[in-house]
Amino acid sequence: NYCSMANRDDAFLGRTGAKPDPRLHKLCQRRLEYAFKRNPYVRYMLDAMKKAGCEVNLEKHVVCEPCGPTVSGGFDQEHRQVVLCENNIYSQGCMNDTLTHELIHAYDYCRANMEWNNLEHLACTEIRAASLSGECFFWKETFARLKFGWKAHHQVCARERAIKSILCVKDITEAEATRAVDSVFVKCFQDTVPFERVPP
Amino acid sequence: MDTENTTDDTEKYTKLRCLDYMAEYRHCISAFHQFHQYYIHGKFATCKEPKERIKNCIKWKTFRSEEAKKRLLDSLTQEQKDMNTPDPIWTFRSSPPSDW
Repeated sequence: NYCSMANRDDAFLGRTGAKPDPRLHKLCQRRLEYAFKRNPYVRYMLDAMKKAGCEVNLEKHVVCEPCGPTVSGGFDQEHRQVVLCENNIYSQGCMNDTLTHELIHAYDYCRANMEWNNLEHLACTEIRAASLSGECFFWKETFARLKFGWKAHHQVCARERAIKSILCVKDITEAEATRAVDSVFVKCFQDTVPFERVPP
Repeated sequence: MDTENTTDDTEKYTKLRCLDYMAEYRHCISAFHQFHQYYIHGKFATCKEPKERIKNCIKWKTFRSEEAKKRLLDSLTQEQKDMNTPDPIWTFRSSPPSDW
């Protein structure tokens, strides 16, 4: 799901004390460890974080918790933790995507003075995460979401998902979110660091 | 400081073989990459840059043309610059966050 960054109270129930399901928790942990060891995108992001000076510690910086109904993960800037929603991550592929997405937010937090209340900064990091994490890959859009399109469709997908992610986090109108995303889209889409170009 | 950086880069680039640039060109013209470029940007890659690099690399290795070497190094540094946005919307930190 695209609600990946959240400050809203209903999204992260775990942060407010909901009871975790032990089976789901173990499954989430197992998928997390597999992603850390085997998934190339996650490993690339971990390496990039280390080079940037923010080495990711599995116990300290990444947690599995139960969340609200629509969120699959988030980056909690207050506690500097990547939160993975054990009740909503339904497969290893979903875990890989969510983890890469959140690590891109963490990377932006690590390398730049991000102001989380600045709508443009938020839009920029969401555009980058949607573009680089693998959510908009061709076969996912075409076969899983049935959104057909070839010519520059990646940009269309990244833009849409960035707008939706912002709406999850901030209580603003769709028009405002669209305006923020459009104003920074070109710059932020081109910024593919730490990847050399948009990964295949 | 600047000359040190250039020397380091030159060391790195002089060790690359022309075969590496040929592999890059082959990857660029492959169907997978071309389709990927079309999907991302809406147009196919021209692959002019990798081709020029091969030419310059061969000229330098065989005829020891200083011009060709300079063109090659320039195109490599330009690629490094293009990766980063020239005008980012946020300011970068000088060191990683202390509370990580």
